[in-house]
Amino acid sequence: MSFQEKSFIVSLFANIVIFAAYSFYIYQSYPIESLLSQDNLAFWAKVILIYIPVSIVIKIVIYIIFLIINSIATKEETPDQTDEMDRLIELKATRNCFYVFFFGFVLSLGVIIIGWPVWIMFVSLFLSFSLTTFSWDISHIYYYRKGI
Amino acid sequence: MAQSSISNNIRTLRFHHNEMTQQQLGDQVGVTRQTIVAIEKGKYSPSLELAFRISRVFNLTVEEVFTYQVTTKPDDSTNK
Repeated sequence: MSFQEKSFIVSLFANIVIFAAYSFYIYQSYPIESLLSQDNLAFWAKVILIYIPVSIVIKIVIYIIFLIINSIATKEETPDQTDEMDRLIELKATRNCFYVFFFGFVLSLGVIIIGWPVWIMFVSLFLSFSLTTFSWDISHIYYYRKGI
Repeated sequence: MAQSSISNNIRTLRFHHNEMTQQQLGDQVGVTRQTIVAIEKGKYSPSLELAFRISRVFNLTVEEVFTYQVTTKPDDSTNK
C-alpha cells in the first residue's frame, strides 16, 4: 500500500472518529430540549463553528503521529512532492466533495422550505459538512487504488 | 463503442537499464514512485510531457515506450 493510500485511510478514520466523538459529546453535554429548541440558532452555529477548528487540530496531531509511526515501521522517507497524478486525483476529489456539499446544502434549504424545524437544517448542514470530508478521503483512496 | 488504452514497457526498459528502480526513474522524471507504479500497471496514463521525459531517460521515442491500443467490441461491427 502506498504512502498516499495509508495517509488518506488514516485521515478517513480520524474524520469518522472525530465526527462520532463530537456528536456524542454534544448529545451528552446538552439536554435534548435545548438541542431541539426552535429558537436556538446561536447554539447550532456555535456547534458547527467549534467543530471546524477542533477537527483540524486533532487531525494535525493524528497526522503527525501517523508520520512518526509510518517512518519507524517502514523506514521510508515521506514524499515531499506532489506530481501530476496527485494533482489530478486532488481535482477529482475536490469535484466529488463539491457535489456532496452542494447536495447537503440544497437538502438543508429544502428542509426550511417544507417547514421542518431549524435544528434539522443545522443537523443536515453539519452532516453534509462531515460527509464532504469523508468523500474527500474516500475519493482519494478510490482513485489511488483504481487509477485514473 | 471503441475503447482505448495506453500500455507501456517501462518495466522491461528499467530492467535493461541496470535494473533501475521505480524510485530512480521517478526521481529522474520528477514524479513520485507511486506514479511510476501506477503507470506501469496501466492505472494512470501520463501527460504528454511526462511521457516524453520517461522516453528520454531510456533514449527512445515515445512510441517505443508507450503503445496506444484501440479495441472495438464485437457488437460494434454488427450494429453498423
